[in-house]
Amino acid sequence: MDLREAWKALETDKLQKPVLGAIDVRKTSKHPIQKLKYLYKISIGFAIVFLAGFIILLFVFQEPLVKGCLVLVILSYVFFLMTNVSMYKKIKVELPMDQSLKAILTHTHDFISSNIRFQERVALFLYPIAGTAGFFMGGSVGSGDLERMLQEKVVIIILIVVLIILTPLCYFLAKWMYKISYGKSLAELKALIIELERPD
Amino acid sequence: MVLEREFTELIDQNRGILYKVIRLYVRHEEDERDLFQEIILQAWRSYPNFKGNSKFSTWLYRVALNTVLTFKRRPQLVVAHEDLTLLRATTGEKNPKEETEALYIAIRELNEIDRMIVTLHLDGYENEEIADIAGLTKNNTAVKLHRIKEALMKKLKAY
Repeated sequence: MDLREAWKALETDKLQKPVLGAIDVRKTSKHPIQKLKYLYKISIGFAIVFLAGFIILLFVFQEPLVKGCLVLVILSYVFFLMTNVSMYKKIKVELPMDQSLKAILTHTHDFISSNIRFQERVALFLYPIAGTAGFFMGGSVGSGDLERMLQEKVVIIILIVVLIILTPLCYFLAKWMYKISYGKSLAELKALIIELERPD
Repeated sequence: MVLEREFTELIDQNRGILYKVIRLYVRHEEDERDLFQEIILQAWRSYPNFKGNSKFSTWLYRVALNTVLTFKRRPQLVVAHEDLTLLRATTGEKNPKEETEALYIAIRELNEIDRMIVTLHLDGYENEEIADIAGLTKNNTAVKLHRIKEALMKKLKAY
């Protein structure tokens, strides 16, 4: 079989079957990096809502320990919000698609991976602070006297146990959710890079 | 606005490249439509960087391949009628149309990188250009191409 002849026939026949759709440069991208940008948007939105909630709670709770904890949570969320906004601004959806395939695959893979790692690390720092604040608020509402409640050793032990269990649990939950959203896509990108780099 | 019209016209004249890349890499109708739009969008975003050093068609081919291969697609299931071993059994003897179909199936059976290299070669691109598009060395491209062509011929002889 003459490969080039068969290819020419293929090009003018099967490979030219039209794809439905008009030429529109204003559609929204569905590229993984664009989706990552949406994820940041959602994350920023949630952070704003939680921040507003914590500020309201600051006026609801009168106990200095709870207030102190809430201030710490608010500061952490402000930091979280600022880092997310900064990362969001850095994401360029204009990918250098006219570079080599290897360059664009590596760029896309590394960019998504580093952003996910960043989000996981920030969350790891936030979970214990938010967990402690939640524990104190619950204790304040439940016992009515948080200071007296905290004098009991068992309460402190419970707090430590809760944090020891909750922090890695939340971290792995976040990791798992990112794996569901991006795991397959990242594995495919990595496989293509390996295939390109493989010496024949 | 003038730039957009100029770009739209160029895409319209080169639609065939988009169809070809999509037909070679995508099997789901929804993915086809998404990718058609995505390639146009990525090409439009990269268009200000197009300096005219190469032909627009070559540049668009590169953008289309890069977009398709970095886009999250649905699993590429093998469809029953796209099985090379079944093709011969169902039709009996070889004719040009069948050979074309066999080539299509054999190319689709290659991994995505090999598929890209061999289709660029069949489209008449020189090894140096293929190396530049893929991000490989010229030597590595030549070696890969030799291996892919051998594998392709083996598949086609076997059917």
